[in-house]
Amino acid sequence: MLSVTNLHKYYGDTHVLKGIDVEVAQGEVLAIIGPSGSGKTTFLRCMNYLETPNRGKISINHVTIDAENTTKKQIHQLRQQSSMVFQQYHLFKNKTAIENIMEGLIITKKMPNRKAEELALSYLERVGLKERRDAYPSQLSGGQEQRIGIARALAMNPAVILFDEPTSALDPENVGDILAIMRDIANQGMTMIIVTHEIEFARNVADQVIFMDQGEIVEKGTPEEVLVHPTYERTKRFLRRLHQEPDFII
Amino acid sequence: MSFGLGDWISMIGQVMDRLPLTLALLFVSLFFAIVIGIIIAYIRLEKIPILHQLATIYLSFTRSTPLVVQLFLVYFGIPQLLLVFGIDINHWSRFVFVVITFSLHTGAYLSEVFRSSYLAVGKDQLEAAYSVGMTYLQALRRIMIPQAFRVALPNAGNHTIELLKDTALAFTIGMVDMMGQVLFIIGNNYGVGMFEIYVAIAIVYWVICIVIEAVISLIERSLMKKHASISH
Repeated sequence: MLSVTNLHKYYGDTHVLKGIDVEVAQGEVLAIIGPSGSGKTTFLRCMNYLETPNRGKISINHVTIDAENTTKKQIHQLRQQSSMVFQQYHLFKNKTAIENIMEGLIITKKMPNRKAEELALSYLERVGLKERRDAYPSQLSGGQEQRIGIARALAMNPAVILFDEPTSALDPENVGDILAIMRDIANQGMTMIIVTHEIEFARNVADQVIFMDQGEIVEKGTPEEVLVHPTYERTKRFLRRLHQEPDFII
Repeated sequence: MSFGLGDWISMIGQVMDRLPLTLALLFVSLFFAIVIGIIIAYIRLEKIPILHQLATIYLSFTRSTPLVVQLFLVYFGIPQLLLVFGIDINHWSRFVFVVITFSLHTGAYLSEVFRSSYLAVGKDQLEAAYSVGMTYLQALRRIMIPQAFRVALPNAGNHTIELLKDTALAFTIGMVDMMGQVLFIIGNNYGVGMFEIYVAIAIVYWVICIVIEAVISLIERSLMKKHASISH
Protein backbone atom coordinates (compact mmCIF):
# COMPACT_ATOMS: atom_id res chain seq x y z
CA MET A 1 0.00 0.00 0.00
CA LEU A 2 2.81 2.33 0.93
CA SER A 3 6.32 1.75 -0.25
CA VAL A 4 9.51 3.76 -0.23
CA THR A 5 12.54 2.68 -2.21
CA ASN A 6 16.08 3.92 -1.82
CA LEU A 7 15.16 7.40 -0.54
CA HIS A 8 17.98 9.93 -0.29
CA LYS A 9 17.94 13.44 1.09
CA TYR A 10 20.73 16.01 1.34
CA TYR A 11 20.85 19.31 3.19
CA GLY A 12 23.67 20.94 1.29
CA ASP A 13 26.54 18.53 1.80
CA THR A 14 24.95 16.67 4.68
CA HIS A 15 23.53 13.33 3.73
CA VAL A 16 20.53 13.08 6.07
CA LEU A 17 18.71 10.12 4.52
CA LYS A 18 20.97 7.42 3.12
CA GLY A 19 18.73 5.19 1.11
CA ILE A 20 15.63 4.34 3.10
CA ASP A 21 13.46 1.34 2.12
CA VAL A 22 10.11 0.83 3.80
CA GLU A 23 6.98 -1.19 3.07
CA VAL A 24 3.75 -0.66 4.96
CA ALA A 25 0.68 -2.80 4.33
CA GLN A 26 -2.91 -1.65 4.55
CA GLY A 27 -3.99 -1.23 8.18
CA GLU A 28 -0.46 -1.60 9.50
CA VAL A 29 1.09 0.63 12.15
CA LEU A 30 4.74 1.49 11.66
CA ALA A 31 6.65 3.12 14.53
CA ILE A 32 9.93 4.87 13.83
CA ILE A 33 12.27 5.38 16.76
CA GLY A 34 15.78 6.71 17.03
CA PRO A 35 17.90 9.45 18.58
CA SER A 36 17.26 13.06 17.57
CA GLY A 37 19.07 13.99 14.38
CA SER A 38 18.69 10.48 13.04
CA GLY A 39 16.53 11.68 10.16
CA LYS A 40 13.28 10.07 11.27
CA THR A 41 11.25 13.27 11.12
CA THR A 42 12.82 14.23 7.80
CA PHE A 43 11.86 10.83 6.45
CA LEU A 44 8.28 11.24 7.64
CA ARG A 45 8.06 14.71 6.08
CA CYS A 46 9.27 13.32 2.76
CA MET A 47 6.15 11.10 2.70
CA ASN A 48 3.97 14.14 1.95
CA TYR A 49 6.69 16.23 0.35
CA LEU A 50 6.94 18.84 3.09
CA GLU A 51 10.59 17.91 2.63
CA THR A 52 11.81 17.28 -0.89
CA PRO A 53 13.90 14.12 -1.22
CA ASN A 54 16.71 14.12 -3.77
CA ARG A 55 16.49 10.55 -4.94
CA GLY A 56 14.24 7.53 -4.57
CA LYS A 57 10.63 6.48 -5.08
CA ILE A 58 7.60 6.98 -2.86
CA SER A 59 4.35 5.29 -3.60
CA ILE A 60 1.10 5.52 -1.66
CA ASN A 61 -1.97 3.76 -3.03
CA HIS A 62 -1.91 4.28 -6.79
CA VAL A 63 0.23 7.44 -6.66
CA THR A 64 3.92 6.88 -7.35
CA ILE A 65 6.46 9.65 -7.34
CA ASP A 66 10.06 9.54 -8.47
CA ALA A 67 12.08 12.16 -6.61
CA GLU A 68 14.29 12.90 -9.59
CA ASN A 69 11.38 13.69 -11.85
CA THR A 70 8.34 15.24 -10.19
CA THR A 71 5.57 17.56 -11.27
CA LYS A 72 3.50 19.87 -9.07
CA LYS A 73 0.47 17.79 -9.90
CA GLN A 74 2.11 14.59 -8.69
CA ILE A 75 3.12 16.25 -5.43
CA HIS A 76 -0.43 17.49 -4.97
CA GLN A 77 -1.79 14.00 -5.62
CA LEU A 78 0.69 12.43 -3.22
CA ARG A 79 -0.29 14.88 -0.48
CA GLN A 80 -3.93 13.95 -0.89
CA GLN A 81 -3.11 10.35 0.02
CA SER A 82 -1.96 11.22 3.52
CA SER A 83 -2.60 13.61 6.35
CA MET A 84 -0.29 14.64 9.14
CA VAL A 85 -0.36 15.23 12.87
CA PHE A 86 2.37 17.67 13.87
CA GLN A 87 4.46 17.88 16.99
CA GLN A 88 3.46 21.52 17.50
CA TYR A 89 -0.15 20.81 16.39
CA HIS A 90 -0.09 23.49 13.64
CA LEU A 91 -3.80 24.19 13.75
CA PHE A 92 -5.04 26.96 11.47
CA LYS A 93 -4.97 29.92 13.83
CA ASN A 94 -7.63 31.85 11.95
CA LYS A 95 -10.14 29.01 12.19
CA THR A 96 -12.20 27.61 15.05
CA ALA A 97 -11.86 24.00 16.17
CA ILE A 98 -14.65 22.81 13.91
CA GLU A 99 -13.48 24.99 10.99
CA ASN A 100 -10.03 23.45 11.30
CA ILE A 101 -11.56 20.07 10.59
CA MET A 102 -13.94 21.34 7.92
CA GLU A 103 -11.29 23.25 5.97
CA GLY A 104 -9.75 20.28 4.17
CA LEU A 105 -13.16 18.70 3.58
CA ILE A 106 -14.51 21.82 1.89
CA ILE A 107 -11.42 22.83 -0.05
CA THR A 108 -9.75 19.53 -0.92
CA LYS A 109 -12.69 17.16 -0.90
CA LYS A 110 -15.14 19.74 -2.30
CA MET A 111 -17.75 18.74 0.26
CA PRO A 112 -20.81 20.97 0.71
CA ASN A 113 -20.66 23.09 3.87
CA ARG A 114 -23.51 21.35 5.68
CA LYS A 115 -22.11 17.90 5.11
CA ALA A 116 -18.60 18.97 6.12
CA GLU A 117 -19.94 20.45 9.33
CA GLU A 118 -21.83 17.28 10.22
CA LEU A 119 -18.80 15.15 9.54
CA ALA A 120 -16.46 17.51 11.43
CA LEU A 121 -18.80 17.42 14.39
CA SER A 122 -18.70 13.64 14.47
CA TYR A 123 -14.90 13.73 14.56
CA LEU A 124 -14.94 16.37 17.29
CA GLU A 125 -17.13 14.04 19.28
CA ARG A 126 -14.74 11.19 18.66
CA VAL A 127 -11.86 13.13 20.23
CA GLY A 128 -14.15 14.35 23.01
CA LEU A 129 -14.17 18.07 22.19
CA LYS A 130 -17.68 18.62 20.88
CA GLU A 131 -18.35 21.38 23.37
CA ARG A 132 -15.25 23.34 22.22
CA ARG A 133 -16.34 23.48 18.59
CA ASP A 134 -16.23 27.27 18.35
CA ALA A 135 -12.98 27.85 20.25
CA TYR A 136 -9.97 29.26 18.42
CA PRO A 137 -6.62 27.44 18.79
CA SER A 138 -5.34 30.22 21.06
CA GLN A 139 -8.17 29.38 23.48
CA LEU A 140 -7.34 25.67 23.64
CA SER A 141 -4.78 23.80 25.75
CA GLY A 142 -1.98 21.85 24.10
CA GLY A 143 -3.70 18.53 24.64
CA GLN A 144 -6.95 19.87 23.19
CA GLU A 145 -5.13 21.34 20.20
CA GLN A 146 -3.51 18.02 19.45
CA ARG A 147 -6.85 16.25 19.67
CA ILE A 148 -8.22 18.69 17.08
CA GLY A 149 -5.09 18.05 15.02
CA ILE A 150 -5.82 14.33 15.07
CA ALA A 151 -9.49 14.91 14.23
CA ARG A 152 -8.43 17.11 11.30
CA ALA A 153 -6.13 14.37 9.99
CA LEU A 154 -8.75 11.64 10.49
CA ALA A 155 -11.53 13.55 8.80
CA MET A 156 -9.61 13.59 5.52
CA ASN A 157 -10.01 9.81 5.51
CA PRO A 158 -6.50 9.38 4.07
CA ALA A 159 -4.75 6.19 3.04
CA VAL A 160 -2.21 6.81 5.79
CA ILE A 161 -1.84 9.21 8.72
CA LEU A 162 1.66 10.47 9.51
CA PHE A 163 2.36 11.30 13.16
CA ASP A 164 5.40 13.47 13.87
CA GLU A 165 6.19 13.02 17.57
CA PRO A 166 2.58 13.84 18.43
CA THR A 167 3.07 13.77 22.20
CA SER A 168 6.50 15.39 22.54
CA ALA A 169 5.18 18.90 23.15
CA LEU A 170 2.49 17.87 25.63
CA ASP A 171 2.24 17.92 29.40
CA PRO A 172 2.73 14.43 30.82
CA GLU A 173 -0.89 14.29 31.92
CA ASN A 174 -2.12 14.83 28.35
CA VAL A 175 0.18 12.27 26.77
CA GLY A 176 -1.95 9.35 27.90
CA ASP A 177 -5.11 10.82 26.35
CA ILE A 178 -3.49 11.33 22.98
CA LEU A 179 -1.92 7.87 22.97
CA ALA A 180 -5.31 6.35 23.87
CA ILE A 181 -6.92 8.10 20.91
CA MET A 182 -4.13 6.91 18.62
CA ARG A 183 -4.46 3.35 19.84
CA ASP A 184 -8.18 3.57 19.15
CA ILE A 185 -7.52 4.74 15.60
CA ALA A 186 -5.03 1.92 15.06
CA ASN A 187 -7.51 -0.63 16.30
CA GLN A 188 -10.00 0.57 13.72
CA GLY A 189 -7.62 -0.39 10.95
CA MET A 190 -6.09 2.94 9.97
CA THR A 191 -2.65 2.75 8.37
CA MET A 192 -0.29 4.85 10.46
CA ILE A 193 3.36 5.87 10.48
CA ILE A 194 4.40 7.21 13.86
CA VAL A 195 7.66 8.90 14.75
CA THR A 196 7.78 8.61 18.51
CA HIS A 197 9.81 8.38 21.67
CA GLU A 198 7.05 6.45 23.45
CA ILE A 199 8.70 3.03 23.37
CA GLU A 200 6.01 1.38 25.46
CA PHE A 201 3.33 2.63 23.08
CA ALA A 202 5.31 1.43 20.06
CA ARG A 203 5.64 -2.00 21.62
CA ASN A 204 1.92 -2.31 22.29
CA VAL A 205 0.46 -0.76 19.16
CA ALA A 206 2.93 -1.04 16.29
CA ASP A 207 3.05 -3.98 13.86
CA GLN A 208 6.44 -2.96 12.62
CA VAL A 209 9.22 -0.95 14.28
CA ILE A 210 12.15 0.78 12.61
CA PHE A 211 15.18 2.01 14.47
CA MET A 212 16.96 4.80 12.60
CA ASP A 213 20.34 6.31 13.30
CA GLN A 214 22.45 8.74 11.26
CA GLY A 215 20.16 8.71 8.27
CA GLU A 216 19.83 4.98 7.82
CA ILE A 217 17.64 2.15 9.03
CA VAL A 218 19.69 0.16 11.52
CA GLU A 219 17.10 -2.38 12.47
CA LYS A 220 13.63 -3.26 11.32
CA GLY A 221 11.15 -5.87 12.49
CA THR A 222 8.34 -6.64 14.88
CA PRO A 223 8.26 -4.68 18.16
CA GLU A 224 9.39 -7.83 19.89
CA GLU A 225 12.45 -8.15 17.63
CA VAL A 226 13.53 -4.51 17.66
CA LEU A 227 12.53 -3.35 21.12
CA VAL A 228 12.93 -6.46 23.24
CA HIS A 229 15.64 -8.46 21.50
CA PRO A 230 17.58 -5.99 19.37
CA THR A 231 20.43 -7.43 17.33
CA TYR A 232 22.58 -4.38 16.80
CA GLU A 233 24.71 -2.59 19.34
CA ARG A 234 23.43 0.86 18.32
CA THR A 235 19.83 -0.17 18.99
CA LYS A 236 20.76 -1.72 22.30
CA ARG A 237 22.63 1.39 23.39
CA PHE A 238 19.71 3.66 22.43
CA LEU A 239 17.16 1.53 24.27
CA ARG A 240 19.38 1.14 27.32
CA ARG A 241 19.75 4.88 27.59
CA LEU A 242 15.97 5.35 27.32
CA HIS A 243 15.32 2.77 30.02
CA GLN A 244 17.99 4.10 32.34
CA GLU A 245 16.85 7.69 32.26
CA PRO A 246 14.40 8.27 35.06
CA ASP A 247 11.38 10.42 34.23
CA PHE A 248 12.46 12.97 36.79
CA ILE A 249 15.01 13.38 39.53
CA ILE A 250 14.05 14.76 42.91
CA MET B 1 -8.07 92.68 11.25
CA SER B 2 -10.41 90.51 13.23
CA PHE B 3 -11.04 86.93 12.26
CA GLY B 4 -14.49 85.61 13.18
CA LEU B 5 -15.95 82.13 13.22
CA GLY B 6 -17.60 82.80 9.88
CA ASP B 7 -14.23 83.58 8.31
CA TRP B 8 -12.78 80.33 9.65
CA ILE B 9 -15.67 78.31 8.26
CA SER B 10 -15.45 79.95 4.87
CA MET B 11 -11.69 79.41 4.76
CA ILE B 12 -11.95 75.74 5.69
CA GLY B 13 -14.69 75.51 3.09
CA GLN B 14 -12.37 76.95 0.43
CA VAL B 15 -9.67 74.41 1.35
CA MET B 16 -12.23 71.59 1.36
CA ASP B 17 -13.22 72.51 -2.19
CA ARG B 18 -10.16 70.57 -3.23
CA LEU B 19 -10.71 67.67 -0.85
CA PRO B 20 -12.11 65.43 -3.64
CA LEU B 21 -8.88 65.79 -5.61
CA THR B 22 -6.72 65.05 -2.57
CA LEU B 23 -8.83 61.99 -1.75
CA ALA B 24 -8.74 60.86 -5.38
CA LEU B 25 -4.92 61.10 -5.30
CA LEU B 26 -4.92 59.15 -2.05
CA PHE B 27 -7.21 56.33 -3.09
CA VAL B 28 -6.01 55.86 -6.67
CA SER B 29 -2.36 55.88 -5.53
CA LEU B 30 -3.14 53.56 -2.63
CA PHE B 31 -4.85 51.11 -4.95
CA PHE B 32 -1.86 50.88 -7.29
CA ALA B 33 0.56 50.92 -4.33
CA ILE B 34 -1.18 47.83 -2.92
CA VAL B 35 -0.96 46.09 -6.30
CA ILE B 36 2.74 46.97 -6.62
CA GLY B 37 3.35 46.02 -2.99
CA ILE B 38 1.85 42.56 -3.49
CA ILE B 39 3.82 41.94 -6.68
CA ILE B 40 7.13 43.08 -5.19
CA ALA B 41 6.52 41.14 -1.97
CA TYR B 42 5.81 38.02 -4.01
CA ILE B 43 8.95 38.50 -6.11
CA ARG B 44 11.10 38.92 -3.01
CA LEU B 45 9.51 36.06 -1.09
CA GLU B 46 9.89 33.65 -3.99
CA LYS B 47 13.35 35.04 -4.83
CA ILE B 48 12.54 35.04 -8.54
CA PRO B 49 15.86 35.50 -10.36
CA ILE B 50 16.60 38.89 -12.03
CA LEU B 51 13.24 40.34 -10.90
CA HIS B 52 14.38 39.83 -7.32
CA GLN B 53 17.54 41.89 -7.88
CA LEU B 54 15.62 44.57 -9.77
CA ALA B 55 13.10 44.77 -6.92
CA THR B 56 15.91 45.21 -4.40
CA ILE B 57 17.38 48.09 -6.39
CA TYR B 58 13.96 49.68 -6.72
CA LEU B 59 13.36 49.42 -2.97
CA SER B 60 16.76 50.84 -2.16
CA PHE B 61 16.29 53.77 -4.56
CA THR B 62 12.79 54.58 -3.34
CA ARG B 63 13.76 54.54 0.28
CA SER B 64 16.94 56.54 -0.20
CA THR B 65 15.71 59.49 -2.26
CA PRO B 66 13.31 62.26 -1.23
CA LEU B 67 9.78 61.91 -2.52
CA VAL B 68 9.88 65.36 -4.10
CA VAL B 69 12.93 64.33 -6.12
CA GLN B 70 11.11 61.20 -7.28
CA LEU B 71 8.13 63.33 -8.26
CA PHE B 72 10.29 65.62 -10.42
CA LEU B 73 12.10 62.65 -11.91
CA VAL B 74 8.81 61.12 -12.98
CA TYR B 75 7.18 64.36 -14.10
CA PHE B 76 10.12 65.81 -16.04
CA GLY B 77 12.23 62.72 -16.63
CA ILE B 78 9.88 60.07 -18.00
CA PRO B 79 8.39 62.24 -20.81
CA GLN B 80 11.90 63.13 -21.98
CA LEU B 81 13.04 59.56 -21.77
CA LEU B 82 10.06 58.35 -23.78
CA LEU B 83 10.52 61.11 -26.32
CA VAL B 84 13.81 59.44 -27.23
CA PHE B 85 11.74 56.45 -28.34
CA GLY B 86 9.36 58.72 -30.19
CA ILE B 87 6.58 58.50 -27.62
CA ASP B 88 5.09 61.83 -26.62
CA ILE B 89 3.32 61.86 -23.26
CA ASN B 90 3.72 65.57 -22.52
CA HIS B 91 0.00 66.11 -22.91
CA TRP B 92 -0.83 63.61 -20.16
CA SER B 93 -2.55 65.01 -17.12
CA ARG B 94 -0.42 65.86 -14.10
CA PHE B 95 -2.68 63.60 -12.10
CA VAL B 96 -1.21 60.58 -13.89
CA PHE B 97 2.38 61.53 -13.03
CA VAL B 98 1.54 62.19 -9.41
CA VAL B 99 -0.26 58.85 -9.12
CA ILE B 100 2.68 57.03 -10.76
CA THR B 101 5.13 58.58 -8.30
CA PHE B 102 3.06 58.03 -5.18
CA SER B 103 2.13 54.47 -6.17
CA LEU B 104 5.76 53.55 -6.72
CA HIS B 105 6.81 55.26 -3.51
CA THR B 106 4.17 53.80 -1.20
CA GLY B 107 4.25 50.46 -3.04
CA ALA B 108 7.88 50.02 -2.02
CA TYR B 109 7.07 50.50 1.65
CA LEU B 110 3.93 48.37 1.47
CA SER B 111 5.83 45.51 -0.16
CA GLU B 112 8.02 45.31 2.94
CA VAL B 113 4.94 45.40 5.18
CA PHE B 114 3.32 42.58 3.19
CA ARG B 115 6.49 40.52 3.05
CA SER B 116 7.14 40.68 6.78
CA SER B 117 3.48 39.95 7.56
CA TYR B 118 3.56 36.87 5.37
CA LEU B 119 6.72 35.69 7.09
CA ALA B 120 5.16 36.40 10.49
CA VAL B 121 2.34 33.94 9.77
CA GLY B 122 4.92 31.18 9.61
CA LYS B 123 5.74 28.21 7.47
CA ASP B 124 3.90 25.86 9.81
CA GLN B 125 0.53 27.20 8.68
CA LEU B 126 1.46 26.55 5.06
CA GLU B 127 2.60 23.03 5.93
CA ALA B 128 -0.63 22.37 7.79
CA ALA B 129 -2.55 23.45 4.68
CA TYR B 130 -0.45 21.14 2.51
CA SER B 131 -1.00 18.30 4.96
CA VAL B 132 -4.75 18.37 4.30
CA GLY B 133 -4.14 18.34 0.56
CA MET B 134 -4.45 22.02 -0.35
CA THR B 135 -2.57 23.61 -3.23
CA TYR B 136 -0.35 26.65 -2.71
CA LEU B 137 -3.01 29.02 -4.03
CA GLN B 138 -5.72 27.50 -1.83
CA ALA B 139 -3.41 27.78 1.18
CA LEU B 140 -2.72 31.43 0.35
CA ARG B 141 -6.36 32.30 -0.01
CA ARG B 142 -7.78 30.41 2.96
CA ILE B 143 -4.96 30.39 5.49
CA MET B 144 -1.98 32.63 4.77
CA ILE B 145 -3.52 35.86 3.46
CA PRO B 146 -6.29 36.16 6.07
CA GLN B 147 -3.67 35.84 8.83
CA ALA B 148 -1.10 38.07 7.10
CA PHE B 149 -3.77 40.73 6.55
CA ARG B 150 -4.30 41.04 10.28
CA VAL B 151 -0.60 41.43 10.92
CA ALA B 152 -0.20 43.94 8.10
CA LEU B 153 -3.12 46.16 8.97
CA PRO B 154 -1.60 48.53 11.57
CA ASN B 155 1.52 49.18 9.48
CA ALA B 156 -0.41 49.49 6.24
CA GLY B 157 -2.62 52.02 8.02
CA ASN B 158 0.39 54.09 8.98
CA HIS B 159 1.58 54.13 5.39
CA THR B 160 -1.87 55.20 4.22
CA ILE B 161 -1.71 58.19 6.55
CA GLU B 162 1.82 58.87 5.35
CA LEU B 163 0.57 58.81 1.77
CA LEU B 164 -2.23 61.24 2.56
CA LYS B 165 0.29 63.74 3.90
CA ASP B 166 2.59 63.14 0.94
CA THR B 167 -0.15 64.14 -1.50
CA ALA B 168 0.48 67.71 -0.35
CA LEU B 169 3.58 67.60 -2.57
CA ALA B 170 1.45 67.44 -5.72
CA PHE B 171 1.36 71.24 -5.79
CA THR B 172 5.07 71.31 -6.61
CA ILE B 173 4.30 70.25 -10.17
CA GLY B 174 1.38 72.64 -10.36
CA MET B 175 -1.58 70.55 -9.24
CA VAL B 176 -4.24 72.44 -7.35
CA ASP B 177 -5.01 69.98 -4.57
CA MET B 178 -5.76 71.26 -1.05
CA MET B 179 -2.20 72.49 -0.64
CA GLY B 180 -2.20 74.09 -4.07
CA GLN B 181 -5.47 75.81 -3.23
CA VAL B 182 -3.95 77.24 -0.06
CA LEU B 183 -1.02 78.72 -1.98
CA PHE B 184 -3.48 80.05 -4.54
CA ILE B 185 -5.53 81.83 -1.86
CA ILE B 186 -2.41 83.28 -0.26
CA GLY B 187 -1.30 84.60 -3.63
CA ASN B 188 -4.67 86.21 -4.26
CA ASN B 189 -4.66 87.92 -0.86
CA TYR B 190 -1.09 89.20 -1.23
CA GLY B 191 -0.06 87.13 1.79
CA VAL B 192 -2.73 88.43 4.15
CA GLY B 193 -4.17 85.78 6.51
CA MET B 194 -1.33 83.36 5.79
CA PHE B 195 -1.20 82.00 9.31
CA GLU B 196 -4.92 81.36 9.50
CA ILE B 197 -5.06 79.51 6.21
CA TYR B 198 -2.22 77.20 7.22
CA VAL B 199 -4.01 76.49 10.47
CA ALA B 200 -7.13 75.69 8.45
CA ILE B 201 -5.40 73.20 6.14
CA ALA B 202 -3.57 71.58 9.06
CA ILE B 203 -6.92 70.98 10.75
CA VAL B 204 -8.37 69.45 7.57
CA TYR B 205 -5.45 67.02 7.18
CA TRP B 206 -5.60 66.20 10.85
CA VAL B 207 -9.28 65.36 10.76
CA ILE B 208 -8.88 63.12 7.70
CA CYS B 209 -6.07 61.24 9.45
CA ILE B 210 -8.23 60.74 12.53
CA VAL B 211 -10.97 59.32 10.31
CA ILE B 212 -8.53 56.92 8.60
CA GLU B 213 -7.17 55.81 11.97
CA ALA B 214 -10.67 55.22 13.29
CA VAL B 215 -11.62 53.11 10.27
CA ILE B 216 -8.50 50.99 10.61
CA SER B 217 -8.89 50.38 14.31
CA LEU B 218 -12.53 49.45 13.63
CA ILE B 219 -11.43 46.79 11.14
CA GLU B 220 -8.71 45.65 13.54
CA ARG B 221 -11.15 45.24 16.38
CA SER B 222 -13.63 43.29 14.31
CA LEU B 223 -10.86 40.92 13.18
CA MET B 224 -9.61 40.62 16.73
CA LYS B 225 -13.03 39.51 17.86
CA LYS B 226 -13.11 36.92 15.14
CA HIS B 227 -9.73 35.35 15.71
CA ALA B 228 -9.53 35.85 19.45
CA SER B 229 -6.08 36.79 20.65
CA ILE B 230 -3.21 37.12 18.20
CA SER B 231 -0.47 35.55 20.24
CA HIS B 232 -0.23 31.94 20.98
